[in-house]
Amino acid sequence: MSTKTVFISLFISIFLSACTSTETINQPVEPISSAKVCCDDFSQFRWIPLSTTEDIDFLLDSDSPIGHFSDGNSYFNAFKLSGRSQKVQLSLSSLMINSSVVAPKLITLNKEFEIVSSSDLEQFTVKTSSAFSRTQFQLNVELDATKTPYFVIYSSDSYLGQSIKVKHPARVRAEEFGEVMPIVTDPIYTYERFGRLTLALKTLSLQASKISEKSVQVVTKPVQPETQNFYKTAITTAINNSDIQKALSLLEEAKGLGIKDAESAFIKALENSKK
Amino acid sequence: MKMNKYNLLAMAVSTALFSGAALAETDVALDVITGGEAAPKVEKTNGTDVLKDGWEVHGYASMNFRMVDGESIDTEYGKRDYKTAGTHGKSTNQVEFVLKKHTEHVNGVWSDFIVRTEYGNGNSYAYSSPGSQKDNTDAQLEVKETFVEIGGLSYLGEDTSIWAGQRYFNRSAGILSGEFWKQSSGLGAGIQSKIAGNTAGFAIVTADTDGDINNGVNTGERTTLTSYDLYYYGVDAGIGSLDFDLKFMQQANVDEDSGFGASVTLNSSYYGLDGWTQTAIAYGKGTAQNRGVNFGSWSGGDDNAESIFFTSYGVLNISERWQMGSEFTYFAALNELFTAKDLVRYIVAVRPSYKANENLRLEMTASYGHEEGAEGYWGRTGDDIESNIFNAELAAAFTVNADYFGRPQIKPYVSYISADDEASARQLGIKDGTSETVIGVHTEIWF
Repeated sequence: MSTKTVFISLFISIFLSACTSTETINQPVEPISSAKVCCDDFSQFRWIPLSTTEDIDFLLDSDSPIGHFSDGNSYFNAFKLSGRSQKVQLSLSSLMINSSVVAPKLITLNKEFEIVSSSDLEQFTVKTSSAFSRTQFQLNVELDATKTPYFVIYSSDSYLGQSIKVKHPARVRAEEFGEVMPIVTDPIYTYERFGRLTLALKTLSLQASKISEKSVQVVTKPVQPETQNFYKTAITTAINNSDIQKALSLLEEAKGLGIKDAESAFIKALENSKK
Repeated sequence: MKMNKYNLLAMAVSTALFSGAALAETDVALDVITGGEAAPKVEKTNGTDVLKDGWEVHGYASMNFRMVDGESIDTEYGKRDYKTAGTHGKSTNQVEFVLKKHTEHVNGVWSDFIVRTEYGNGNSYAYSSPGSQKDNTDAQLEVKETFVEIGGLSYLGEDTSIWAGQRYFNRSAGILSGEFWKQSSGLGAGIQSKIAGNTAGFAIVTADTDGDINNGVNTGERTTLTSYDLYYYGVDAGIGSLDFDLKFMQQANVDEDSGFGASVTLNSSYYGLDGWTQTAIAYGKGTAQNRGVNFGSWSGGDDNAESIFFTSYGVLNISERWQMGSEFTYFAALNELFTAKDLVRYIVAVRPSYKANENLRLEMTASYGHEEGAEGYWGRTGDDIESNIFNAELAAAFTVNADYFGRPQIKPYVSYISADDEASARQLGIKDGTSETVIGVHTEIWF
């Protein structure tokens, strides 16, 4: 094959394949209807219990519950720190995949489900990919499980539609190691509702709690003679009226109250009625 | 992000602000407290507690499959001498691993440990699987860098860091020639800090010559090279920032044993347009004749060696899809350079690049290189004295999306190299005539 043929065929094939390129169309961001919101209150959230040390991958997708937050309705995941943890190191990552990423928001709540703190996107750092990790937003925080046992992660409405330009990994490498700078276009990631996140949790100190010494005692109050009389009379009347069903249910109630001779009154009335 | 005292201070301030502003939520609604949004609290712990710790693995591989008339080749067509700018470089099976351990402590102290190993850089044979490489090449598994850097020590100041080990320090390379023109490559130690808001540092780097290393340890005196580096980076110059480098070099056990090199680098936009450029001028004398600031085992030279170096390269962002890389480099003797009297080299190169889609980029490269010297330099006479080389290349880079962790790229290319005469062509390794066409596939992966 001559050089010219190679040049021409390569050139043609390149430009043919270039013509097949497609544009990505950005969908308008519609707010989520309030009718889809799962709960009226944080206390009604379903909380995912966490261990003392754990790495979790999770998705924010259409299967995630929807909650109402100050910055709009959003898909979320709610977590509960382990009762054994006190000081906890938390690393939250949101992975940048295929031009999109969740700009996450982390809010921490106390035992009464009141918001104690909430994160801002500026607190997240962009960590470029390595051999084992993708480019991601990352936030490292330390929580006190005794003060904030609950936290919620959601994709805030206020960030939706915005985007971030991240240095191309080949450029990062070139800058770090003084390599030849590559001619590459830096990828842009749009903030979307759905995405993949990871949570790495490490308990730094444990929480101890006292075991209560108070034993639970059943307090039985004496039944008033008037009540006893009422039940005995009512049972007898019911049997006399041949309403055995009513008599049985009255007997059950009387037993529950601890009226000992209700049963003998029932039997006596039954025997009398047969006479 | 390196954790320093400022970060901690910022966290402490935000925590304090928060604790003053946070109110108990009493409403049933799930609203975030207005005006009291605060950072998730970072608890104050022991200063020596580790905030962040972990290993990172990075790497790179380059497999360049080059053929000329059914033959694999060793020549790089003068790429290293600024004669061509195409993709036709060496390395058939170059693999590189970088291990990085970064640790941050609550008191702001941080450390980095970096190991960079490489195999196969410069290999030009096409190897089979029996593992015969070791017999017929100089390349082997090599440690390119291994060093530790420690910073944030309170008694040195939060912006100060110290390092020691083997590395190539403060390195820069031309974008199309691919040639490293600035570095201090060897074993050494240094300190870096901020002076008037700009990065300033001092380093001592030593390197033994390839000759001494290959002769073995019991062969007499070594001609060890040493460079004393002073640098001051990031000085605002309005149109960009300036980097200053000064290097004093010495060589042991040689008669003419010293040299001096200096460079000024301007980092700015693409000559006023969208993009970036790096423009530098460097002067080198004696031991520092190689572009003044390019120190390594290759350094050395007598007192007649004196050179000037100018380079300007960068990338112009034309549109969303079009980019163009360009380079102009001039490297010449003020007296002698690499023992050649009046040696002059320069290259002009451009590489327009079109991003067809996320997975395909087309690259076109054109370069013109020139070399000349005084009659008889390196024994050259007649047509050999002057070379003018034209190089054109067409390439298509097939790649996966940039966020994919592996980022492999396969780039088929055709490179055409044409010399002004047969003598110049022979210097490049062209066997017949004045031109050559190289067909190749360059595979790269960054991870």
